[in-house]
Amino acid sequence: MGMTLSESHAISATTRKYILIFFIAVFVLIPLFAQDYVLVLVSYGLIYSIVALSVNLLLGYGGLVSFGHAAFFTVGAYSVALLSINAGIYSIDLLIISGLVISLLTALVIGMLCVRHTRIYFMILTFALSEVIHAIIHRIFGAAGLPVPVPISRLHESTLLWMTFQGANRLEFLRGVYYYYILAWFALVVFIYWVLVNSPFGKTLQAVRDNEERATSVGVSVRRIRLLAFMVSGAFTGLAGALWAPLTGLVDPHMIHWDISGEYVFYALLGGVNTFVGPIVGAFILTSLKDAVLSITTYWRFLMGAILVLLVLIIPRGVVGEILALVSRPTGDSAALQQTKPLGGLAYIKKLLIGGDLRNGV
Amino acid sequence: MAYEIAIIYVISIIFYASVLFLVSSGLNLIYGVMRILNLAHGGLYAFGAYVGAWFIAVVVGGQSPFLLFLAPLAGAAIAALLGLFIEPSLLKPIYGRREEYQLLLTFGVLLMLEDGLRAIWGSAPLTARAPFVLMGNVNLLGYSYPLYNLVVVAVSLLTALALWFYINKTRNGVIMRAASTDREMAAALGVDVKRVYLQTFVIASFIAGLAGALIVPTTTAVLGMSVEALVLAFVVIVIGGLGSLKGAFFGSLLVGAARIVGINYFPQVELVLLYAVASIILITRPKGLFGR
Repeated sequence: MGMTLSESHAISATTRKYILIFFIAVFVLIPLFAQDYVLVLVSYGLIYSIVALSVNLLLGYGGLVSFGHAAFFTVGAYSVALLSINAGIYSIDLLIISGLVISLLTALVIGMLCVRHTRIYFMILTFALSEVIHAIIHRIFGAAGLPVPVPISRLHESTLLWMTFQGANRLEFLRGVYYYYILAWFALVVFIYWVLVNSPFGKTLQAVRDNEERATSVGVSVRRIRLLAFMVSGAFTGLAGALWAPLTGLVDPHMIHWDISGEYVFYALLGGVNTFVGPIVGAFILTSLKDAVLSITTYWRFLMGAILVLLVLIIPRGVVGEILALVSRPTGDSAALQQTKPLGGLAYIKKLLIGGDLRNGV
Repeated sequence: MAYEIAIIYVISIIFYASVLFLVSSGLNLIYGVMRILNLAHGGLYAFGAYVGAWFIAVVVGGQSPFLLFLAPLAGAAIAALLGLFIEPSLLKPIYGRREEYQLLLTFGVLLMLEDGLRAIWGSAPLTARAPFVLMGNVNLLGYSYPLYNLVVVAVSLLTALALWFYINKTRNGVIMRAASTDREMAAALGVDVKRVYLQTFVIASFIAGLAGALIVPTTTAVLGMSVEALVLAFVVIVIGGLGSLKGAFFGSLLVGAARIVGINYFPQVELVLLYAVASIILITRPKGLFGR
């Protein structure tokens, strides 16, 4: 199963432009009419979208399942907290960029160990190494976590670009400047990823995913290309963590818990790993769903597990992937690809009920 | 003095390795035959532990010491039943699919099992030390040691032997190995691969439940034990090699040794030491010690 669907197949360039303009308008105008609660939720959605895109660079484009991305997120967030507590840095730009750089270095070290392996070994190693970082953070900084001073106790000393926040409270800060700050970073990351996956680097990464031997035989350094992808992915996940820290105001070791890493993979899968925008959609759906479910019941994990199982069994192409499959006219090319796709939706249920071979040659 | 310490260490390592082997052998068995890394295995282990603790505390309730020793079987039976349900309904449809989907599906099952435990038994840890206390200590080479721990070691060794015998010496084992080596060819020769897969999964689930229920008297049943066991089992199979029973055996011993030495000499970085050992082995032998 390669890039079975790309947006360009299904939707015309003009329609795509209008969709893009619509969403830009929505995100820019939201603070004008949304309640505080909704705006904070959207901020989280934007941050988790960065994570989802990062996970999908490895998953969708690189064919590598990382079960350890919560480690980079946590490293980014802890960097912000620690630099501001211990080094007295209150420039938010400097803190965020430090988070990015420190995560990049972490990703370099972990990546060098992990990219030697693929498939299950890669997954086990990312999982295990993130548990190591969990253990280290837990032991050094304690289970209770650390308060992030920037948006709370030290807001009046904080600076962001040219702005200072004398006399502002935390909510005004989050609602006014910080939302747009997150949005700007989000737009930048989306742009970089878009350029990246369409660049020779992105194409090479996909070639390595589809056939490692062939890529090696035409002279691609498989390990280096994977390491680069891993570092970009880890660094931007750390950036998301760094942006997240001032938003919540508290970092704690639970952030690196195994099910959080699983959630990150889940974002990409829910939206559709073979689409560029899928992970963003997945992150927003899951963030709002989690928020809604947690207000009713504490059995969030059970629901998440059940959705995950159904997703894998019934809509393996993800939400965006399925929508694109619906709206796309089967041209000769994609009609041929249809043959090799896993059974989706009703076809799966039918086979399950009536019987027959559920496997196919993917 | 040094001699005594050495004895204590060796016994602790063997006990710890036995526990690890019980957890990782089933995981490896499933991977060896079905080529799926079953993350839900940790959940089945935890289910075994909770059922075992519940059985000891509620069903037996201190009435009959003899019944106590049925607890591991109760845990194993429940886990096997869960396996009997999970394999045909959830795993069967995804055998041909890409690895990441298989991982995510079993991850989903793990999440459901975790919350299932919380729904049934709540968040408070369950303790069931009756068998442990009842059996008391024995004198082992001049050192007083809990008899129950020796039982765990014995059961683990018996399990290893039984698995080895089943896979290598019985007709079912031959069929299992055939299906694992070449699924298509085995099917063409008339092997009912679906049945082999179901058998394998249920046996592995049984061992996972047995492990949980057997170990619970020496510790407590807590939420999160599934992942703790899973992480250590990962290290074991990474060191030993995926899908190799021999690998699980020696991997368990090595991890047991690294852990005990780590806890005693480098308590601050004990986990790091463990992963350092695993990383060195993976870098020098990418498929593990006995990987195929």
